[in-house]
This record gives sequence, C-alpha cells and structure tokens, in this order.
Amino acid sequence: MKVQELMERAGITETGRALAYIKDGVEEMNVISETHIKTQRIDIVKDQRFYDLPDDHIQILDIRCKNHLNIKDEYRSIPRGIGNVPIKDADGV
Amino acid sequence: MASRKEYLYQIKGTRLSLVEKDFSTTDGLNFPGVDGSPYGTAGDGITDDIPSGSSAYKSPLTSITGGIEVEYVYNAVSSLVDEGDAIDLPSYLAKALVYYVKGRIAEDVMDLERKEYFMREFRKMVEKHGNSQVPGPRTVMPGSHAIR
Repeated sequence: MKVQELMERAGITETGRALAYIKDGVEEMNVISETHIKTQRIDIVKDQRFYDLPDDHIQILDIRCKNHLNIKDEYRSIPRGIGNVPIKDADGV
Repeated sequence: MASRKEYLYQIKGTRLSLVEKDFSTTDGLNFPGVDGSPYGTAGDGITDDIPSGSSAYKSPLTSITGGIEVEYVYNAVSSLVDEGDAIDLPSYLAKALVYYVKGRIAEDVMDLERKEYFMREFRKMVEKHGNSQVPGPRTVMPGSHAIR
C-alpha cells in the first residue's frame, strides 16, 4: 500500500502529519509483533569492551557470540550479566 | 581449531558491553566435560571437578571478525518521504496501520472514545497477524543454560 492510499483511507490530507503517524504506527507494530527483523555482525576487538548497537534498532531480540560454549564456530546466545564487572575496562573505549 | 569461549553482555546506554571469562588464570571456574575445556573431562579426578574460585570476566581477550551477532527489530520506515512511497508491510498490516492513523487523528481532536476504538482494532489486527504466522505444533527450545 502506498502512503497516498493510506491517507485516503484514513481521511487525512496533510502529508507530513500522515508520514509521522505512519512511522509511529510501524514502530508500534514492531514492538507489539516484531514485524521487521534482521541480524548484524559486529567484530570483536581485543580489549574493547563497548560496541555500538545498530542505529536503526528498536528492540534487541538476541545476542549471540561465535564459539560461546563451543569449539565448532557456532554462534550461541550469550547471557546478560547483572551487576558490575569488577575488572575495569582496560582501554576505556 | 577454535577455542571455547564464554561471554556475558550488558547494555550500557546505547552501547553493548561485552566481557569474556578468562580461563588462563587460576581463578576461572572449571567446566569439566564441556567441549574444549582446558581442565580435562568430568570425573577424571577430584580437583578438576571442583570450581577453583571466583570467576574473572574481562574485556574480550582475542579479536574475532564478525564475532557478535545481534538479532534485532529495526525501524523499517525511515525512508518514507513522499506520498508516492510504498509502505513495506503485508497488506493486512497496512490495513491495521489505517486504524492507527485514524486513532491518532481522533486523539488530536480529543475524541478519546474513537481513539480507543481505533487503537483496539489496530492491536487486534496486529496480534491476529502475528498468530497467523505460526502454524502447526510448537516445541519449546531449551535455553542456552539448560541442563546438558
């Protein structure tokens, strides 16, 4: 469906407002029902603790790491740590 | 052959904090019987089967290309700029979106009863669409920390 058709069905004439509502609606839909999902791989860098999450993410579904609890180069889900890590980040990046 | 690793993550603001358990020091936990464990196999002695102390999580110990895989829900409409642009949604969900837009319009004029009606219809259609994607029997997958 095109934006114009949706505007006609909803009875709205201002394009800017319609686009804003459509974006909100699709975001809401994504949160309720996870309609648009993708995966991205990030390089692990020695001694670097912090990594940027994808800019367009709304909700994180899973984080997997290569060779986590295996030696077969499989990607497996990693658990979320609770509390602070006692050993300080070496490079602070 | 790749070596076995053990990671944890935390979300710090908009960034992912990744730490790895350091097995090279004596304060790592033993995991007898697990693939690649440097501490031998289960039941091969008393000391190997006893955790040796507190664990040491540090920043990743080695670089791995494409080592983290993040699965996420993304914002699919950031490219919409014009009336002629197509909304990247199945037709059923596009109809649900009409209800959402109608609901927001009703909210703008403070017609809250109409707004609630349209939002209810919107949520109903989205949930119905979600349920329609899962035919057949379902099996619960064991978690990553299930008993092996």
